[in-house]
Amino acid sequence: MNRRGVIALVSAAACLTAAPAAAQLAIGTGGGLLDPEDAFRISARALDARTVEVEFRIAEGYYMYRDRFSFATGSGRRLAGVELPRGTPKDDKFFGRTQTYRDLVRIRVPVPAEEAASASVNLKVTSQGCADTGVCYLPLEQTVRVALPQEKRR
Amino acid sequence: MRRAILAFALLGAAAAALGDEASVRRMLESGLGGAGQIESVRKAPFAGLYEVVLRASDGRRIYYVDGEASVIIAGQIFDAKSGRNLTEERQRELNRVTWESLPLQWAITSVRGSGRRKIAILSDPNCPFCKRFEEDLAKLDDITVHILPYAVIRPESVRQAKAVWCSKDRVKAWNDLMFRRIEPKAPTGCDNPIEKLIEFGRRIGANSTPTWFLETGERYSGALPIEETRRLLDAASPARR
Repeated sequence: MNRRGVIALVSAAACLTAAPAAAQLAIGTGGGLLDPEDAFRISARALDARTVEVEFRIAEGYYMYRDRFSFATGSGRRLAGVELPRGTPKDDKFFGRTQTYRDLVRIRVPVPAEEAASASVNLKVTSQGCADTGVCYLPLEQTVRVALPQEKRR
Repeated sequence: MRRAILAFALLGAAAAALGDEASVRRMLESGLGGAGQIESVRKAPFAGLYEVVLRASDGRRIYYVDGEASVIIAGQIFDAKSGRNLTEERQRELNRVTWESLPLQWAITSVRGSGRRKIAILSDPNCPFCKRFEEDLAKLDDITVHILPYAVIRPESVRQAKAVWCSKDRVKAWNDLMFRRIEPKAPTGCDNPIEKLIEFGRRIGANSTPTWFLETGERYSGALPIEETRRLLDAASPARR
């Protein structure tokens, strides 16, 4: 039963490594389809008290749809005025014209006044993407908590 | 994020060196708290590691720990000689369902030729890879295709899938939508399994489309190349003469 020392350990530890090694090591078919949280890795930081920048690091061979992002506060209030950068146009005869992101995307999200007054804000980010190997993921909801610098009070 | 928390919980669980399934499980459990539910612990057939299967809301996850549960490996293990992804193979084994347990009464079924090769697909009308996969399958003869309409990718998928189900000729309505982008016109009010299929898919952790099953119960994700799919179909249902 023992495979004598011929084991390659590929650490794709979501919490430990910067780049998911398994994405590069696609051995065989469906070689390690990533979990959506690993394919589309979210982080966020405050640029100022009223603006949060959400960043997605997208694994190689995966992409996200520009028109499938939505942002809400922790309490579920949908946020408007989000600045989605231009993506790469994808023209599908069948599904029409869309734009997609690969590698990295940074999105500026305005923080509403009520939330900006507190020390941190919870953002619920919904997104959807696919892998070139031939699957599309269900919409993914991720929550990030961002510390906010305090606005000067008048 | 959830995984990070879990990893720390597992690291924190490190205790005295012992090293059998039961003691590894005890060491893990004492540190896990509510982070997840251990489904099984067993000695992995390589490298002196233990395989830990955790049940999360969206399915099972495999981790590996050493005999002292002092480190955790969250990743995939390949056999360096053959290149086989051992973690993926094990995942497939864990994800196996019995063919009989699939809700095929909610499927849109078409049979070609003898229908001897059988496949069931969780498919969304707005998933480009589902379209490609079904187009490929349409080229195969002697096959039974069960489409389980899994309306999850876009909000409009739900209405479309219901309208297909409420159509007189479901196969035609589905194929018109999938292959020709002809919207189904039937009203959506009929008794239909679309919501129940969404529940079913989530319960079995189908977080991508197409997710499909062979008669052996093996589960696959994605539109594999047609030659590969054909090979798998043949292996799962040998030719009868």
